[in-house]
Amino acid sequence: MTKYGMVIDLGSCLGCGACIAACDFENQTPWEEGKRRTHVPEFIFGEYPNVERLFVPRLCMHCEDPPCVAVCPTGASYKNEDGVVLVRYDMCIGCKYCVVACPYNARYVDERKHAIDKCTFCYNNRVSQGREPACVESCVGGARIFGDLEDPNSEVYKLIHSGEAVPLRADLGTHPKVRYIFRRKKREGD
Amino acid sequence: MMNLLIQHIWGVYIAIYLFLGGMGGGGMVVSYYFCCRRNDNKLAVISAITSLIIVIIGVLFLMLDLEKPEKFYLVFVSPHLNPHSMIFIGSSILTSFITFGLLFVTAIEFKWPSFLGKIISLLPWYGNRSFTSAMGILASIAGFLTAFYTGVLIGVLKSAPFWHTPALPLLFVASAFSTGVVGVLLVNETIGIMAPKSERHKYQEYCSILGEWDAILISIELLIIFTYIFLFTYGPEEAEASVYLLTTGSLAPWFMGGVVTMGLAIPFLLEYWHIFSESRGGKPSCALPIIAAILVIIGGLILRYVVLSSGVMTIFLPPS
Ligand code: SF4
Ligand code: SF4
Repeated sequence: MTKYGMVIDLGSCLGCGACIAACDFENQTPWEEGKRRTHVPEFIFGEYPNVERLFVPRLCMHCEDPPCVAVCPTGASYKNEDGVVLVRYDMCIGCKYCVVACPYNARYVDERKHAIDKCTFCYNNRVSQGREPACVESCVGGARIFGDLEDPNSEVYKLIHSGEAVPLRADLGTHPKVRYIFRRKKREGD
Repeated sequence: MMNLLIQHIWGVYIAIYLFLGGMGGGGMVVSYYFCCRRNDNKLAVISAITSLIIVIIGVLFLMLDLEKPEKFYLVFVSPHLNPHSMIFIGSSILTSFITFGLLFVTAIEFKWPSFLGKIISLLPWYGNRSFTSAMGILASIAGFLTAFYTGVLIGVLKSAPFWHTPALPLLFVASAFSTGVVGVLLVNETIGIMAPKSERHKYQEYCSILGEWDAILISIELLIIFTYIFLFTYGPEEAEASVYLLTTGSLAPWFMGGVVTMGLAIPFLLEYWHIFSESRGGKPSCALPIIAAILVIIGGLILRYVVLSSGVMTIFLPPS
């Protein structure tokens, strides 16, 4: 069994947006309408001279208990055998219940497909062929780490099990498989 | 304050759908009362048909909101059907509402216009009193469930904390019954105007009964709204923001003005005044309850709209 997940190391994100461009290109998102599968919003904390700037890449969290799947009447939204949350476009009637139900603002209506779309972890076009998602491959800072959360040798497994990578809003109970590192622990050789 | 994401995916069409579903559902229960408790078949039939039409128009608005309305059938027959989805459950409730409603209407003994009358009188259940009453009860239950479901559909979502409360379905049910009652009040008045003079006092009496019921329902609604809003001023953060939007922010004219004042407080006073002046032996007239009815209906529609538009979605960024 595989369970794909991603760890995002915020300390390594430069905010360059290469992942956004790679995703838009790879997945042909309707980006001209502002609809994308991943975003990199910027946050500024504090006041001069003690200012901190943080980029927080966001995408579908591929929740283990996804509310979007729970509300979908036709089963168009589903979690596949590798834990990736996907949409069967031909089964989607476009009721938009899933868009409203997603607490991580990950879904949008693709007017060309007349269906809902969202991040797929590039499952069909890359991951199933042994490649990494486009955003991971293109990340300049190496901030996005992708892998199998059930494989104890994978980096994502280690980062999560060491408690370093944590979910956003764990209290919502959806068990996101995208985790974040806010402060990286010092390692040997660092 | 950081940028809030306010729900904007479900707009006017879904608001109309939720409103009409509630009003039709509530109206059906009132129709049952007039048929089977008051033996006024004319008022019962016309109110029940009106309720059915209202719900069907509501469903059309839901369809209009879909990206693929032509594939709506998948809700019932998709190979991956999800029986836990509130949309599947709601669609099943609506189907039974329409089915039982049609059986109920066609069972009531009533002088239908010529052609229709001929067809309906051929139906084996036409005029069967126990069948009428059974179908009336089933249609009323389905009507109640329709009204309840319109609140639950939104209430189950945790993505906007302001919606995730038992107060929401309760508020929608109270509003559904209130709008259903005043809908029948308007039907009653239309029949009353056309009735011969000798029968008018009956419709006058119904007007007062319905006005009184509505006044009670409005007070329940006001109590729910007050509790709902008041408790959420204590958080969570997103729901607090929703309360702010509704009470002092951009939606305040719609909510405080349109719903609370125009749609509830004023109608309540009008209905109360009607009851008061009647008890003083004033001239019989249904004018005040009729004005109240129109305001209640407009307020009910705005209520659905503002609830949808005040859904502040969960804040998950930035990390603190
Ligand atoms: S983040 Fe949203 S779209 Fe992605 S799995 Fe969770 S609920 Fe579904
Ligand atoms: S919009 Fe499509 S994927 Fe989303 S709940 Fe409706 S049918 Fe399912």
